[in-house]
Amino acid sequence: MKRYAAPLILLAAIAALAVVGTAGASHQVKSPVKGSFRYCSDPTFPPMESTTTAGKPTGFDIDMANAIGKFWKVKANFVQTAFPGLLPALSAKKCNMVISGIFITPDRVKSFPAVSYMKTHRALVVQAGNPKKIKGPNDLSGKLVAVQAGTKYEEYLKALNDQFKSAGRPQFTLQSYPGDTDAVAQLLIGRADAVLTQDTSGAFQKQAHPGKLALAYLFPETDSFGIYYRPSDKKIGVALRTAIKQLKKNGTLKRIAAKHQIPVSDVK
Amino acid sequence: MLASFDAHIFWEALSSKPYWNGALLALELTLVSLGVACVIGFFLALGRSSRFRWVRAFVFFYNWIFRATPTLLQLLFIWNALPQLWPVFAGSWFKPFLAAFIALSLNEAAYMSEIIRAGLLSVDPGQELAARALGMTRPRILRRVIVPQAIRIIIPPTGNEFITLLKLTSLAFVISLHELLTAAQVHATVDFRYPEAYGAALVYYLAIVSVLMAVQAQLEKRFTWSSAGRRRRNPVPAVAHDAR
Repeated sequence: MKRYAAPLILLAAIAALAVVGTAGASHQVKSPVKGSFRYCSDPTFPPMESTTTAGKPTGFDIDMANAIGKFWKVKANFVQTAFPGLLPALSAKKCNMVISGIFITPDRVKSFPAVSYMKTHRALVVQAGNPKKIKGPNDLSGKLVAVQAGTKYEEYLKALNDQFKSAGRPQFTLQSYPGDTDAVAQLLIGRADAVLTQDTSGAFQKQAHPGKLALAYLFPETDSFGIYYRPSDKKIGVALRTAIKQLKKNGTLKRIAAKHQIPVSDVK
Repeated sequence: MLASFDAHIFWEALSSKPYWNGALLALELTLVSLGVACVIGFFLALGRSSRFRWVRAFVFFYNWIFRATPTLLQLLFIWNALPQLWPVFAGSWFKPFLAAFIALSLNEAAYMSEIIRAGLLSVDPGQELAARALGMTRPRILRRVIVPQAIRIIIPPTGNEFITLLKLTSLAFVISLHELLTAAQVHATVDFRYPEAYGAALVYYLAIVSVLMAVQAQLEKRFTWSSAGRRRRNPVPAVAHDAR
């Protein structure tokens, strides 16, 4: 798959250019930033963002950031940041916004406003054939679960473990890793029994490691991925909302989703 | 001016369980790793001057491998690569703490071996000759003559190593072991109060290192045999009287 990544990106870039080019012509767009903007991202969460073997960032969020840049007629600059450091970097003005497959949650929104661009489900990823017969969160009791640190997944799993404890059931061993890919790697190594992540990531990993992984369970609730910005940057917020609305309307986001094997119905 | 340092959040972080557990974990990991590293390092240091060529070669090779590669790489290798080489390491018995302990103590042993070697070399070879002349065996010479003198040289750099190792434990985050620094990171992401969250971690590190420095000072005093401070406390016995 990786072999075709470069030409694919080129193709998509040309496509995005064409689409946004026409969109830009028909709308008088005012950029909230001069020349360029920086976005913080943790490229360990394919297909939203990851790095190619050559170390170049790639993924839905990267293409979307570039599309927003084209829309505003400015350059989008990628700033690599570890996931727990994303919002800290935003508040420290290391970047203008965070685009990193990060959820919109009530407690995050208390500190930073966000613009939603995608709705997806959480998923339990297991080894192919589901050797531990995990059919839902209840079956995690007594198992070894790997997850990315500092995420809502980790928070949820900790709460679930507390529930198991108060119900007198065996707790699971929770291991939290710096990156989502690090957590999935624990499944491939054969150490972890399950990984909690997003369906987007799960589907991607399943495809990247054919015959090794399976999606055991999809949570019914949806989560919104959002672009976070600083509360003081009202201009960026307004411009982001317009840009996302426009990129949804003209089909750019759907096209980018399809390119990265994300269900186009998630773009909403 | 500290426009927005919330003392309440700071105290809450300082007294929270994750911080305490994280600090304890960092300290435990440091102590056991350094302890084992001292033992391995001691034998490596002896091996450097072994009569057998292959022993000397092994020590050289060991120190080369563990000092030339990053500690982070060693941690990741033990945690992620070993299970692929030998599936037995994928078992649940192979806990993150155990992996970090193995990686850090093997790594630290290489450094300790050089420190201990320096200590052993600092003892004049004449001392060993004299002890042999008295009919002491080699282990006994080591225990009674060389080590007590070498320790004075070894203690200060070992204090350094302890501090370095304490800070290195934060690397174990990559193998899902959550010590003090991770606790601070996680706490910071809850309410985005960085000065307070990091400040609390700072206090813990300072506290641990302060205690260590006090212990080191005591140890140094204990192993001094020519300083004025020690002589005052143990006045020279009356032997001097007869000699007059």
